[in-house]
Amino acid sequence: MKEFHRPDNWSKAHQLLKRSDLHTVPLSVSPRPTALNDLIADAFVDLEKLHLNFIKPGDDGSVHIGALTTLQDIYLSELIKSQAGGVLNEAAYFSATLGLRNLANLAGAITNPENPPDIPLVLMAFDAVVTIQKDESQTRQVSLQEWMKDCTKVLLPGEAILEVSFPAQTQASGALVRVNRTPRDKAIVAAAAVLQVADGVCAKAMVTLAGCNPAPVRLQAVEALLIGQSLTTELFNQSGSIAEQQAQPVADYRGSVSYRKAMASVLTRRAIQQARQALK
Amino acid sequence: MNIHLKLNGKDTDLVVIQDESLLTALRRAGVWSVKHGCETGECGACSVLMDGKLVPTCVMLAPQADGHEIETVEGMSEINTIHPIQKAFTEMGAVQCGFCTPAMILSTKALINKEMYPTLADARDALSSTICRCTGYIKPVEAIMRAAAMLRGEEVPPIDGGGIPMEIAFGLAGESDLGRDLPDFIKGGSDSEVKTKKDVKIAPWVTPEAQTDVVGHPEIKVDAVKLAKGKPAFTDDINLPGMLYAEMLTSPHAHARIRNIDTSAAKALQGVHAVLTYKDIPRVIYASGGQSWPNPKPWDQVSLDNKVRHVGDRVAVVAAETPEIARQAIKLINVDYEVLPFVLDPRDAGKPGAPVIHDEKDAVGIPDASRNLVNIVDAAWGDVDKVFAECDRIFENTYYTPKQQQGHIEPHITITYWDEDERLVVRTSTQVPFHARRMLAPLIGLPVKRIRVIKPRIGGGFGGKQEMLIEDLAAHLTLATNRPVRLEYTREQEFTSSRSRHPMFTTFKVGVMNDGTIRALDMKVISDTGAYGTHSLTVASVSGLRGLSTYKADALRFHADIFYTNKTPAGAFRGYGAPQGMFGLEVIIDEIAHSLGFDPVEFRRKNAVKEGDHIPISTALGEGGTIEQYVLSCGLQECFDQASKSIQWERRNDPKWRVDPERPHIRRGLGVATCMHGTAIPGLDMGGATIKMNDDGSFNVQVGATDLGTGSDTVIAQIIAETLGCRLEDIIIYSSDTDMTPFDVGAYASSTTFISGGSAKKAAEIVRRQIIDRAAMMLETTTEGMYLRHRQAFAADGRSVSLEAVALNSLHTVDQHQIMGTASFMSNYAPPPFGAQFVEVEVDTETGMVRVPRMVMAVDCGTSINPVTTTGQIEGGQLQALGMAIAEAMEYDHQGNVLQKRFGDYRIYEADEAPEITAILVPTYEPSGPYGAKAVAEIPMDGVAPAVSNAIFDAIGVRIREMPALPERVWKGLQEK
Repeated sequence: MKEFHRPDNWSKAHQLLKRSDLHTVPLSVSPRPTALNDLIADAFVDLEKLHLNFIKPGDDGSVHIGALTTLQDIYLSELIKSQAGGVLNEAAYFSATLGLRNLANLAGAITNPENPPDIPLVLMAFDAVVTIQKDESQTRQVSLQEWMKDCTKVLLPGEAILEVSFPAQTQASGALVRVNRTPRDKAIVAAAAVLQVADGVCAKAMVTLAGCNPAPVRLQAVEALLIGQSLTTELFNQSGSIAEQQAQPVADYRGSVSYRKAMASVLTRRAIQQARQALK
Repeated sequence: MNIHLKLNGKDTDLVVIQDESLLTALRRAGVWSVKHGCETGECGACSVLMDGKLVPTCVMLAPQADGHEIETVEGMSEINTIHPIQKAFTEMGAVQCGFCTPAMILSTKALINKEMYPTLADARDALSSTICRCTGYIKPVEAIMRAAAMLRGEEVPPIDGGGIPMEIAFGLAGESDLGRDLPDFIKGGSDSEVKTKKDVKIAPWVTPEAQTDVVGHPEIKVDAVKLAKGKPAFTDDINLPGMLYAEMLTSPHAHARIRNIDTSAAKALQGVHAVLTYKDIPRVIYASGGQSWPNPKPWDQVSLDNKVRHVGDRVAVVAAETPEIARQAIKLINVDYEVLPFVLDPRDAGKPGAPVIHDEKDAVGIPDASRNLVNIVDAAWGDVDKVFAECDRIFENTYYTPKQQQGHIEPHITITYWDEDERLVVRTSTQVPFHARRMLAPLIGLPVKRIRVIKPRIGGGFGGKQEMLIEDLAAHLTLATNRPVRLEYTREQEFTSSRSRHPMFTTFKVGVMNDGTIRALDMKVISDTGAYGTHSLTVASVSGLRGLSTYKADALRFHADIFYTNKTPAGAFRGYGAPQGMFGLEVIIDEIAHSLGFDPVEFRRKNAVKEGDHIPISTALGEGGTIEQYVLSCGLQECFDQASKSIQWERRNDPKWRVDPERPHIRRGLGVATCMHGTAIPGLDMGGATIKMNDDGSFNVQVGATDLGTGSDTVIAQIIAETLGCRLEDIIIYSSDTDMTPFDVGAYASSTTFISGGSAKKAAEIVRRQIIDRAAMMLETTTEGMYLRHRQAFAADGRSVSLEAVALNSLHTVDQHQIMGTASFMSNYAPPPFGAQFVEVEVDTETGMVRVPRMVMAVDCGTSINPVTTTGQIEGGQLQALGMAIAEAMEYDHQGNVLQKRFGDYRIYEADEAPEITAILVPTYEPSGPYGAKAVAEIPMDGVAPAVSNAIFDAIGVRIREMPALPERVWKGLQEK
């Protein structure tokens, strides 16, 4: 039988999580939950009492989302809606149906590689950082981009996710585009773009892609292409080509390598194009 | 550990296991409305409101609920009261099988608590967490809107209206007898003229404006209230003292021989009561398909074998004190496998050198086991080659339909126990209780008379429960332990160890004249039955029947080769071969229409069968033998009229509609398909009904018919109530209990309204005559001209006596007599329902994604006994069919592992992504059916996939001949264009 704990402070939580004799993990629910019988752990630590369900602005205008913030709270948040046209709200909506959005949380959304990619994809395009509670008093930070390279291995024994934060995106526009079997289906390929344009020139570009590589990636070559340029159809097409060239997809029953590579181009172009249109 | 929570407003302490789910803990506490449908939170049947928010409980640890407030539907109403939301669901026909209804009602409650004026989008979002395989979400959305209006204090329109002319229901003479208008040649006479009316003396109460009182009305389903209130109505909603929990060990290999099994460690585990393998039980050959005696061959299964033929095949079964112990014991069983080569493609299975899947000597009725050939079907009518030689044009193509899974939300579940008379009770979620009893008996060595099968409510079946799938294993364990045993599939096992639709490659060759007249049809099928041959013969036969019945031709030919593969067995699935056959047929018909320059609708109208036509293939091909069939009623042309108008068929000629300037990569298109199905298996299907009258003029009804959520109990009760002149609430119906009810073949083959309803009608006619006899005696008059209506028996002179008075007189006063009747019904005639299916698509020309904004189906199902349940079938069926067209297909890796083992991966449309679905009823009068009814349950499965394919062609000029139309498949078509 597996243990269940609900500590009321970090000290107790940390004592539980750092145990070496029992594989103890912080309890989180992903939008694509694992059956309870298949969860690999000897003990679960429910951090419900540690007040990790929050969405709040930082002093510098950055946005902080607590690890246990539910996807439904993200979906409904006005603060989130003000960021890049609400593209993260959209990502939360498409990540799960209502009941699972009420239960699944941000920590769950970034710790299971089988999850729908939407939330990490958009947060990566926001240049988000994951803050980890190392122990009772110390934290450490990992960029989400690094985190997603293997999201199951970043968290060390004794640690728990505290929050995910990102710089303010109020001046940016964003787009999330997906290809899937049905409108709410987990994306076969998805792309997100967050743009900022000043005086007709692209001042900031963050472009991310999922389903075309073993893990979601930031397309830094595409970003470099766009920044400082006036955004044209030709640039959109070039961006797609770069994404396709860089893609190293893993095929599955929903999409072959060739299809995923082709979609890398189409969706990258579309994401940038739509983010650009949203600026108008 | 103890947790404290507020459960339905009451402070509650629960003792829970730390790592069990909240679902398990709540059900153990008697909160039966919370259902198990999956283990990953994706079906939503287990949802509750936690602190007012909808959450799935199967993925929550029970201790997570500590300190929270939990609400379930049990807390929404008391005995004799009903919450407005529950009421709205019952009134709008939103309750079909009812398994997911409590979750939907809770979604509604949470939504309305937050938003008193929900939009349709709000309603769809609220329902998105609950996968419903029955309704297509149309009526649940309507129920939400109605509930919100009721809770705002607004008046809502009454649910009434309907009815059919008395003249149709009872004939001009006021006769009730079933089949009174059948032509003589169907009745067995020699007259070949089709007649629908007689010259008769008109009964005065059958006025031109008179309508029926119950039949044709949108009556609330007789079981809707209990299901909306979450009452313990399903198989698993029971706790038996000493019940053991069973678990199956299944094969990790696609094909292997079991050299040995060591169960000693499992048996030694504390709490384990039995571990059974092939060594422990007798080897009895059988076929698991729930079909009439003798079961169609091959008989190629045994309960536990020393060979496994697919990943997920049975190896051993354990019974233990708890599910956890049973699971632990499974891990302790040591199996020594000799792994064998395997074959996954039916086109390879018959080739030289392919591994032989059924090499056992005792299998019965495999035509060529050495080539994995399970069955061959051949049928022909006319001189096919000669007619082809006369044709102006010949078209030929091959089409593929996938391995779709039934996806009923309630998994297979069986509970077995000895009763006080030492008879084995099998409480099981089955569509075929009587077949299950007969088939189970030899496997467990008990006579039929010592077995009682009870079918409680079923949480969906769709053919997946037309199978004696797990009853034998639970029974073996009860025999081994003398304890009650519960065996339930996980969702994963529904994908690895259950049944599916037969995937088929169908090649059509069609000969036509330049004027658009079809002359010859030749259909060849390669069917993949998976590891066992259950249903394989009859499913392929229906593919041929349906593929070769819809259009008139001078010559027809059918050939099917059915092969074993090392995949999960296929079996019965709503449509039963027709969707496979109709897909190829309706796409090639579209191809021909385009090639010859015809409008696809007009080409279909020109060639389709019409009223009075003979169905020649029925002389050569049948499911239960060959019995010549005719079309006695046909509203197909009217279906085309109404559905094409609804979908605005002319839009396809408007270039502005076809291209969206805002989305230049999108192309729109419309597609059409003709639908024609059967009603029951002629000459084979039979159902029985018994009716007895009570002191107050109410009636107890026992029927063998198996209501699997379709509303057959209601429809049967409506037929009886109309015949007996009483209200629906005067009928107390009890169904599907092999000890208590007459025989019925079960719920399949679109038979229940026609066959079981027919038996109900006949039994009611017997009772009606007895009531009239007694009333005539009481009124001291003759029976001539007497009739029953408004709970009264009326004499010809207008005097009347109440049914209650008749009952009291008959039971207690003179010449005492229990007014009662029993009848059974079978039919050599299987009247085809017809339909016109239209689909609108949007195709993304860059990605291949296909979206379906709207589907319209017009159906001629004869008389609709209940328009709400009928349209519910058509709406839900269309969405299930759309699944096969767009997303649903079981795929396998190179080792024979199914790749989709959970909802989500196996994609079923959710409420907020389902299209707008329209169901149009085109009433006709079918003289062979009760009150003119024929079937509706399966026909909605037939036309959606071809209409989608045809719509894609209309949109982008690419023919998709392989379903589902996955993005990559369509994209490849675009690349190759």
